[in-house]
Amino acid sequence: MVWLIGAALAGPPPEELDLEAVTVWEDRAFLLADGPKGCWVLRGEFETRLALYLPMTVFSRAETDTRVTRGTFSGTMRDGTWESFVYSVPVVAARAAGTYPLPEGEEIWLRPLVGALDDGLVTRAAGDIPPETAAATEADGGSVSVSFGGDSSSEDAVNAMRASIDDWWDATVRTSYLRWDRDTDSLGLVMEVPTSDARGAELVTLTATFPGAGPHATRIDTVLPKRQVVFEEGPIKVKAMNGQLHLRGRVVEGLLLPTTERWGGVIGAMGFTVGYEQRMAYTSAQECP
Amino acid sequence: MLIALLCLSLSAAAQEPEAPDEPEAPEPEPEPEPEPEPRTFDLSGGLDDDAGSALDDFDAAVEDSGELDPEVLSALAPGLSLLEGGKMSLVRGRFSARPLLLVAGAQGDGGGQAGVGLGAAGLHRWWVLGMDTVQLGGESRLEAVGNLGNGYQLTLTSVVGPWLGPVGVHAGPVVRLDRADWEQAGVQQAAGVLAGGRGLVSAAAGPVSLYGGAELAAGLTGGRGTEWTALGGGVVELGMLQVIGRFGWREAPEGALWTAGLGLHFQPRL
Repeated sequence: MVWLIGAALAGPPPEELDLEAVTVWEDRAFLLADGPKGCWVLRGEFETRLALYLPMTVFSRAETDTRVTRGTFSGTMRDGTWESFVYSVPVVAARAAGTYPLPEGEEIWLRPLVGALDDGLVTRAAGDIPPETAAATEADGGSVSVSFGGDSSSEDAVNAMRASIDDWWDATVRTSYLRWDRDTDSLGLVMEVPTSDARGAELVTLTATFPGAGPHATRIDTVLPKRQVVFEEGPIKVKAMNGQLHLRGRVVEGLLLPTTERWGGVIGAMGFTVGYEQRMAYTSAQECP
Repeated sequence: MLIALLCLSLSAAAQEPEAPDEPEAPEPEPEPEPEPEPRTFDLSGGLDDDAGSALDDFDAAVEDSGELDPEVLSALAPGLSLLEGGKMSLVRGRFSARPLLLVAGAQGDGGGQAGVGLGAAGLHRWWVLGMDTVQLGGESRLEAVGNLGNGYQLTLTSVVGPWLGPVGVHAGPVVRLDRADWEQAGVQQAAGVLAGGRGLVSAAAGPVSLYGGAELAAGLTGGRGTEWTALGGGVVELGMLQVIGRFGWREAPEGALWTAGLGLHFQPRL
């Protein structure tokens, strides 16, 4: 029944939609990655997964180790630049859930795709303190051993999603086209960029999805080639595999806000294989007072 | 009559005392408009999304790693022909090299003597993916060691075998060219080539692996006789650091020769 309703609602593209006007949609395709205008306190939860395959030797069996770390984060973003970013890994909860109880003093490499961020800003809250409490304590001049990092400026901030897009945006050859998805009533902008000038080179695919051909793209996906040799010298070969970045958003009161993001990839070299993935879900966006 | 009533009414109105002027109340100042509450939006929906995952296909990525040219692999991995054709595509391998620092010595009629051995080893390891309880693989190793002032050894071994749960069994041929000149101990061997076989049994438990084995080799040149060697060692993992110990005791017609070594090896670990 639900399917029937969906099928009935899905339809042809709006009459005024020009599927040839690619540049119009290119200009607004990746605004979600820039973050909302104004000042916002964004909170959420995250999960990182690190996987390592160790090949067998005469002295040890082959094995795959996986480490999952979960926690929460909170940060202030002003006009697309993070001014603070604190995360917390509750050790007790981690032990109970069987995830990695990140020891005190150890940090993880956590980087959001939304907004520009200076690496120096990313700080782990002490103990099990929730990030928002840590942020408030810091704002009050408290002495809890929590800091937001030191010297940083917007010049040092990098927008990871933008950077990954720009890497391919400036390619000498790229193919862009629009397609209407009747099932989801959405417009997709697809950009394909070859990874090299060689004939038959693998493609990087960037996709932005505009629900109802509206002004905001609420889904951005960058998918790198399934496998790609990034270094080769004699018998040593390094391969990058499964690289991908995904960003999802929602329009609320005219504002384009992030909801989930995910990025990761796998590197294989010398028989070892290591993979990393980071997922973040934004739980709330609060306007700065 | 109507006119008279009207006049009377006006007259009465004119005679009513005027109310004294009340002081004008100051106009109330407009209350400042309350600051608009900062907007808060609930975005919660959980970590799950419809996006693809880089790690969903991790096993396939493992298969993509360490792929070697089949010809190179065939040359370096004896025993490969034992594998069925379908398994060939799942064979992976890697090369590595490492320096060697050993203590070497001899025990003969003249007593004991020890010295230092320096050298290097080149390895090629291969393994078959997609095997769980039983894991098949092997290792080829070319090792060159110079015992400072007391001779040298050039050894080529290639072993193959399975891991059966926590126990590994590996065996294969060995070819050795060596010369020993432990004058004080009274153990001297002319340069010669020996060929034979080697067998190893390994056991792994957590961060510790131990192995032991034996090697039997017969002299082909240099007037060398038959020699057997007892081999042993272990690996202890300390985070990303592997401490490797090894020991070998060789019984030859000319006397006993031994080597002992301790090495450090970095290996990625979570």
